[in-house]
Amino acid sequence: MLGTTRGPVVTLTRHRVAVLAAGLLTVLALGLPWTASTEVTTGGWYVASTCIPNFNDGTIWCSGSYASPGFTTGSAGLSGNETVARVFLVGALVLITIASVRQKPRLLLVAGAALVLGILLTGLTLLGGQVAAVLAAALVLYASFSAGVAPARA
Amino acid sequence: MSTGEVVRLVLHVLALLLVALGLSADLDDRDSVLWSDTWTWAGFATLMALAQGAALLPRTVLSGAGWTTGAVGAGGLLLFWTLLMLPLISTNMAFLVTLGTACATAAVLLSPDRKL
Repeated sequence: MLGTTRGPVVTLTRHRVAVLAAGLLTVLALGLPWTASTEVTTGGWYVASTCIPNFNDGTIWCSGSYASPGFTTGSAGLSGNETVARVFLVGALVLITIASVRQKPRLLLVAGAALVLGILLTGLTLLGGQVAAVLAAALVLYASFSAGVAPARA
Repeated sequence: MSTGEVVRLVLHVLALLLVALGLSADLDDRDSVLWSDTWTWAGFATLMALAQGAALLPRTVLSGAGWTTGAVGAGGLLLFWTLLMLPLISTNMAFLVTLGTACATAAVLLSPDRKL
């Protein structure tokens, strides 16, 4: 009897652990970096004035001083909550929550698709946030398939 | 009034108060509030914060659409939070709106009329 019940129990536990881990990784992805910094800083410069005394007439001539402020171009690295991917991450979180509460594993498929879409729209950089999102998508898809949701075959 | 009803009432009221406070008070010394920055988004968030309270209404009111209206309000707050508050999550304003959105979501989910 034990052999007949252990299978589904183990699968259910793995399923729940996978869904929980996917949710946590999705939250983590919101805080981890998604894009690398492209900032380039050009330093400023300053030329001090020079003074030349004229000892014949007792005057002094000074040149002007020049200063140029430094500037930075490009954009700073962004974390998940600052990129457009946050819409998909939060959407996936909501779907994962509803799927868990309402026992609708099909929604996990949609959540996985949302995570993948968020990654693709942001551009592949394989930084921490994206890696977390990829793992979350893999876990969510695993959970949906282990719950018996399979894509329709032609 | 049962404990559950009191909890839901408190959550709905807290949601409205926290969102309104976050939008209207200058808590981060910016010398401006969201109402003066983008009044359309502030108005949207306030409208959604009001709408989430509809989940408290009895089934006989609004032709039984009270919970649905409340869920739309909580969903709208979640959208507002995702689009506008999440990038500013380290600010006091975002903290209050985050708490308000969480209260609204919890209140709607705890409703006995829940359809989702």
